[in-house]
Amino acid sequence: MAARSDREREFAEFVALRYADLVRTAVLLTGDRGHAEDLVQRALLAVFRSWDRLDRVANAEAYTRTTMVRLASRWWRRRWRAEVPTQWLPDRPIGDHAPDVDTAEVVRQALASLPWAQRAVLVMRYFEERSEAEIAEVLGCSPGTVKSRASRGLAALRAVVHIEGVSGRERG
Amino acid sequence: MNEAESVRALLVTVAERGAGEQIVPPVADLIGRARRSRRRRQTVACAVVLAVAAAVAVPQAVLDRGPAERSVAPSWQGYPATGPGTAIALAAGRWSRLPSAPIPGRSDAATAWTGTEMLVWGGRVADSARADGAAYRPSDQRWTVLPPAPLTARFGMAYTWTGAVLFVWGGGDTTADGAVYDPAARIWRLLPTSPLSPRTDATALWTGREVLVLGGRSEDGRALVDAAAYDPATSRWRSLPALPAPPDHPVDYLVPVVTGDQVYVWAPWAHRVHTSPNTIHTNYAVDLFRFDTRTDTWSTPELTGDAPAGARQPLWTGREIIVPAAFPYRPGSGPIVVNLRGSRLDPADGRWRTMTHGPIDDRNGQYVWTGAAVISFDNAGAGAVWDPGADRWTTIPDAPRAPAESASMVWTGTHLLIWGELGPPESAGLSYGS
Repeated sequence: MAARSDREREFAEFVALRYADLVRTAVLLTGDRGHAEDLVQRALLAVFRSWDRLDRVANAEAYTRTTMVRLASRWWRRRWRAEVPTQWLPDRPIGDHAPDVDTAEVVRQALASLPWAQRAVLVMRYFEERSEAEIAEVLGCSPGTVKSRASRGLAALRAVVHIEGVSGRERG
Repeated sequence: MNEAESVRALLVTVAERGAGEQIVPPVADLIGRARRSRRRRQTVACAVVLAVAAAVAVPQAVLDRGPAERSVAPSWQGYPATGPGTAIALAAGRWSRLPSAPIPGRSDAATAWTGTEMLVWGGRVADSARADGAAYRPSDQRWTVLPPAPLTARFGMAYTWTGAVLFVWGGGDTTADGAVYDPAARIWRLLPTSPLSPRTDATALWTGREVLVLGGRSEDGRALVDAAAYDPATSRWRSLPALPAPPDHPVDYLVPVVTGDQVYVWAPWAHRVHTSPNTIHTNYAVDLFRFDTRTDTWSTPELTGDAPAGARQPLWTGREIIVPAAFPYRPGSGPIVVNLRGSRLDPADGRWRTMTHGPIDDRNGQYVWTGAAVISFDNAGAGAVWDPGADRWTTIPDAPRAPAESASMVWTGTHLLIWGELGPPESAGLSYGS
């Protein structure tokens, strides 16, 4: 009983500490807050089932984030696209001088229009700042494939917004 | 600021705007759900408790059936009224656990029911693609390991059962090779080179004469709409005409179902155009095509009634196409749609009819045709069964373990077998039937 209560307390602390950050990542993976919270909660339930095998918070976060990507990938494969309506998304002006709000909306739309694998690579590479090798392991592909998907995803973003910095170099 | 930092800054802004400021961790709710899930698993471990639970869990409430949907077309009367696959038998079913498999549990495996065995091959365990497989025979409740396949580890492959062999092609790290497994001889045979380019997520369909391989995605994520046919009798491929999507209907993905000689294919598309230098407009819709396997020709069927707004897991009953409830296709993001309903099409009269809303319809469930009914599950283990003659849903006992998304599911003629679990690698499986 004590072990159970310890586990639940540790899990509760982990959720309280990391939930908001996980939801922000999930928003990028799924495209909206509702699906993002659904994704995070399902991943957390899976993490709780494995809690005893994890080295607590550090491993729990990595495991949760990997589970989120895997789950989102399955949803995509099963044709449930978190990409739903556009009717409330007005057509947005794009350009160097657009306000941040509009730029963010354009980027969000561009991200949502990317093939799933490219979107996942961009989120893991640039938002979570994972290495190509880690991403390749999560997605079950080669580092070269990760690199090409990141390159294509960035090209798609560059087509709709100006991205500062002249270097297209990828960190290894 | 270099490019990586700029991209991160943009993504941070998108994430923070999309998530909003009020993010309240649902700690108590998650702990409660975790406890309930744990209790369900413990219930399975105790056969006596399970037996009592199953005996008590009699057919539950009849749900949400409006009088307006009661009209039953003549062809709907022809489904079996008795037998283990009927809604009434399934409503009184119970769960039991499969013996442990000799290979790790997984998702996205190629799965088939041969008539005597459930075959599973490939898929992924956690993050790792697999190249192993096993067969489960319910008659003596035994698993056997499949001989090694001549293919690399993979998931996302096209697969189907031909009546004699399990056909597996593509998938993995965007491959274009494949093999067939003959369970009678317990041997694998490599397929000859296909006319199709490497891809993942293609669909394989057995027409009764050939395996059609359709669609998928290229390595760079582009949706593909070409197709080819493999004849197991001659071991030869032939190219087929590609789906004739109009240029301004760029396809996002394909959802096919085979109905004997005809293949119906849903093709959601989204077309973004710059209507002015600073404005993007998106048109989108779902096109439906039909491919005649006798003449190798595509057409657009002329149908009446309310066509489904989304199609995810269409089923062929032998009489009708059932399109279980699915989120309407739309590119971009927006509110979750609720009160979804499935649709049914009798190809003989070409008319869509709406199905009664079911208890799983808003939960992105999985649907299996039993020969006389549709069983559906959500990923928390709640289930329901749909009677096609009465257009009525009935709840069934919750699964003692929540079936993972992309788990292997087959109907054996008497039982539903589910194998492969979410989370840590486990080789657990379930059987449900009366």
